Amino acid sequence: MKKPTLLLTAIASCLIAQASFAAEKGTIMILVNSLDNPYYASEAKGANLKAQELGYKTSVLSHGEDVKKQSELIDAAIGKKVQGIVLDNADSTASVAAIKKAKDAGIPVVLINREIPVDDVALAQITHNNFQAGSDVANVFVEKMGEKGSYAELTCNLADNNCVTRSKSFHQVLDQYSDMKSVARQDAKGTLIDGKRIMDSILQAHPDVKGVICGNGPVALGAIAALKAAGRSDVIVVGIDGSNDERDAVEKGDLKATVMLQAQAIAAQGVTDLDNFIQKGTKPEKQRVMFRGILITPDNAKGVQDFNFKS
Amino acid sequence: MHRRLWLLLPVVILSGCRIVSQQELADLKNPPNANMGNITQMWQQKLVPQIAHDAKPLAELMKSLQSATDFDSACKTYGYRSQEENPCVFSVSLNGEVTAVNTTSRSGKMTLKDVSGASVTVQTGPIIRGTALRDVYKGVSYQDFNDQVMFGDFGRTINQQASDMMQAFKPKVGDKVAIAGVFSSWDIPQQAPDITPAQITRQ
Repeated sequence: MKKPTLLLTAIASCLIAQASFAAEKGTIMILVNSLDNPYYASEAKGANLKAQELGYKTSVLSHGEDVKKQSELIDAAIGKKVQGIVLDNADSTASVAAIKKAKDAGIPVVLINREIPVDDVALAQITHNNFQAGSDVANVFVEKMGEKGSYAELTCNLADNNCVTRSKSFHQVLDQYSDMKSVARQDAKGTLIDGKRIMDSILQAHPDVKGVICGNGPVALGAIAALKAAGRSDVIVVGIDGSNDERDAVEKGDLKATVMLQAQAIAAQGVTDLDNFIQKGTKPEKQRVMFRGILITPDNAKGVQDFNFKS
Repeated sequence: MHRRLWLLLPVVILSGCRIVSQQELADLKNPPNANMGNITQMWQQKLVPQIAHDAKPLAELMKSLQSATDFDSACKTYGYRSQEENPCVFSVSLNGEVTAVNTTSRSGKMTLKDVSGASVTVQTGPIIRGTALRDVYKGVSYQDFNDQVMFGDFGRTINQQASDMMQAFKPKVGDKVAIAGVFSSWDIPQQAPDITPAQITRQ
């Protein structure tokens, strides 16, 4: 554990050093969960493009949902005196200390995607309207199910606040329909592989299941894989995220609906907020801002590209 | 026989009670957010009057929106949104005859032939969808909650007021009604989207 962390910190430091070398306006650090996941990769892409457009060098890194590693990377950024940090944090509560540390060192931090429960630590907190996203897909789900029947819920990762919010918004809609019957609710940890595995077992235990409502895109795609393997084209699947893979599944009819989260837009907004603060000292008008999710159905699916929507 | 009746007594007495958990009790005594406190009162005294005051006749509103230069200025002049990232909510008044009522779906709807000639869909519940009623209210915004779930519950409780109103009103085909309601939109609408009612009266 120790060695790779050290190595990564070293690489991080090199990257930051290299990046800040030639920059005029300095470097912005972009720190997200994982660069393998298309959602986080799109956040990084959005922030990166905006920062370069505004004349900053960037250093793009991932913390892998590890609070300790996140703290080390922020330490490295403080050491290298970056101008600002765009952060999709590793844990809502545990991240507060690291963000405060950067703030005390004079480095503004803008949070994207995940919020923290305190104000006045981050320069701004820009998030998706997860509640609206959940309500929107739940409405389509209920319609496609004909307002009745057995359904399962696969949550994305109940350690993540956003996933809890989505699940709550699902139920705020679904629980109003007394003929919708929940037969299973399991946490698929947000991954395709767990989505498939759990859906496999739900199909065994509840062959009467008519629909699956999923907390994120990878889980929905996993559920679809399980349903395909079982020859169950009759089961309604919906999800949230809006990756290119989900877009393709919506176009094929495997996924009835998803909500595209504007990952590139929130990240770009984060960089703009940093730039305004660094250059002019202006703080954003509101500390917390919510971006809407865009409901994706076969009608508008073609507008989705790397978590950016063009109508 | 007598004794059995005695046994019934506590059942009869207690049937008017509701059992709540400690947490629910705490929430009832002291709501987690002041705005969650008395939504019925807020609905009657603030939100409905605000919508009724701001509502413009459908034909007039649609015409103004069509001639607006861009959506942003249209929203500022004719609608309301608490922040630019939100859809814009417009208050509208309708007047006309009910031509269809769909109660098969739990999210029921009726069709109204407005005096302007347009046929408009109005939500009748019992499930009222969307957050337009919450979002049009100028007294409160997300900043007052900073909690998406609580903000969602706030919206749901407001919708319940509209639902109760429509369930009590029981619109029928042929009814002549006047409605003040709202709809939300991300761009200038070509035709009236589904209306969520805040006030309804028989003419």
